[in-house]
Amino acid sequence: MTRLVVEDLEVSLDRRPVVKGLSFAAEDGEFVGLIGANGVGKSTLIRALTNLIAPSGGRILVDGTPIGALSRKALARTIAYLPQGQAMHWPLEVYHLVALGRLPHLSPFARPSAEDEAAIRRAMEQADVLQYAGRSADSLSGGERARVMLARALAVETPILLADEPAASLDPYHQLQVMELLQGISRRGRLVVAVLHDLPLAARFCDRLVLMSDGEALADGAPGEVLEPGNLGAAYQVGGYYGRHEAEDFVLPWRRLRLNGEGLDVVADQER
Amino acid sequence: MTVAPSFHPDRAAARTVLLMVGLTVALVVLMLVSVSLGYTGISVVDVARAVFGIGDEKAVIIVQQLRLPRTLLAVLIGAGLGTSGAVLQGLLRNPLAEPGVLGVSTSASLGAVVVIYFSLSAAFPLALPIGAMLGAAVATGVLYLLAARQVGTLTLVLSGAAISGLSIALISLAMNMSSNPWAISEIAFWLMGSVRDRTFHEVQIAAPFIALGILLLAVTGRALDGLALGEDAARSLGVDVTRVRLLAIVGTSLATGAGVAVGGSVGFIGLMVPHLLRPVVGYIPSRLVLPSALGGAVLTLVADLAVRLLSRGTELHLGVLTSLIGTPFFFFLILRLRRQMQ
Repeated sequence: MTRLVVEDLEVSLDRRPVVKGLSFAAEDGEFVGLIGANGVGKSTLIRALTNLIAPSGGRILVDGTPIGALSRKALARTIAYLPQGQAMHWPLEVYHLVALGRLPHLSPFARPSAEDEAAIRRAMEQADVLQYAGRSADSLSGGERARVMLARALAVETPILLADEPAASLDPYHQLQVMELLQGISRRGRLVVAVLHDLPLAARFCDRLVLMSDGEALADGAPGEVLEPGNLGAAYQVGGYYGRHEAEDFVLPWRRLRLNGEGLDVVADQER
Repeated sequence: MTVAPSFHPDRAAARTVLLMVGLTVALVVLMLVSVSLGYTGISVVDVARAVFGIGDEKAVIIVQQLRLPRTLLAVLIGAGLGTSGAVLQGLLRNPLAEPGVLGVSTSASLGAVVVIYFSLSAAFPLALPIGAMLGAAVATGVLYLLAARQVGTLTLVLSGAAISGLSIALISLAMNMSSNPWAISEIAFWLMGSVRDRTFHEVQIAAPFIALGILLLAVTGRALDGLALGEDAARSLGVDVTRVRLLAIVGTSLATGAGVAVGGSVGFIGLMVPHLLRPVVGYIPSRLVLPSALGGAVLTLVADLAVRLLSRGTELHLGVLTSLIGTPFFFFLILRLRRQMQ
């Protein structure tokens, strides 16, 4: 049982407050989507959750322990982080790339154990990249690469996985595949928190959405409630197209709205 | 080295072991060739005995006092440069990073020149290596500050050129202002790089610093692997990035600086060696460090042998030869990397 609690979190970048008193809690088995317009502090929040940036206020607790109180390695064994863009600076063999996920488990100069091997294999199976083990990382397509990087993060075998836009710049097939993978991982008992931009995907695959607006949580709950027209307008300045397909509700961002004195208006057709 | 049983055979690990063995054998053979080569003909067997002080007294003196220091210095300087190159490339995630290209060697030369210009060696015997190491530390530190701000490869290489340019300008200034012709020729020597006519005194000065530098650099290995994923991912894997930077800067300063103090500026060893060995070790940064030490020693020794064999009359300087070979290599690398650099 793992529980991540964020209490009144404040994070500043260059003294500019970006996350302004945000609170939420989540547990293992959940797939939480962190959504919101560009620049509202989603990536900053994720980076604070991995202790890459120190908060200026509030607390982040894992099972009651502030993450700042954990040692570097203990934290690395608790929270895995899949950064945006998935940089890969040398054309390592895929196996060795995924094996990097075992770094927090290795003592200095010790060679990987059978347990490390097993973890690498499990991660590669879960992300469906076992067949690429011997390939060079720079020979992979975008979709293959995204899954290999996901396998790298999975190989750490942490109770918590944080991913920053894991489905960005992938084609629809691979977006669906990555979302299914993340959902499957949470079903197997991990807490997955992912920054997402694609609202229909987020709504379909996440158990819960946290909608951020100007550094705060504007809404937090089931996707259907969070993505209701009022929230969509306030957070994104868009109106949605709501529908139902194969017994599932969906919402598509449909048109831009504009602010007037009292609220939001639909942008007139001729302005489009 | 045993390899854990795996669902995926780690061929790169086997290749790395073979590479290390091959380079060690090559190094021993080349060292023997190096001490055997000289004006006085001494048989290989006698040379080997003379290294340990056995046999003909004249042979012992020639080998121990003339040829052995030269050989050992080439090995030490090369190992320091190879290791520095491998670690700098891993840290900055940049195949063009190298003490010479980044201006670290020139900056170390400047440090040495300042010591010579103000005759500080007379007052304090270790002034020369310390001056060179401080010079190297300044350049490495400045480069790291730039790299930490996420500048691209191009900016980094150009900054290296700027550091190099400023160092050369200041060295020229020192030569310009010096009224002492001895100091001028001494300074000119730093710029060319050589291990000729050295004694065990130089070996004693350089060896501890270079050895310590290589040790500090070798400790970074695993962290360099993590950095292959970028700094954020490395941190999230528990890598102490600040510590790695410090180890790399201090290690490079010691290994490169002490080498420059006794051998002057020998360029491009740190560029070529890691680049040539990287595919063999499967591009894994930690596995590149020790082979690069061996490879650097081998390449520098080969270059020094070439200098001795090619020279007729005036001996070609070691640093001149490595630059003549290294510069086209550097240019070739730039052409290959030009798409990444834009």
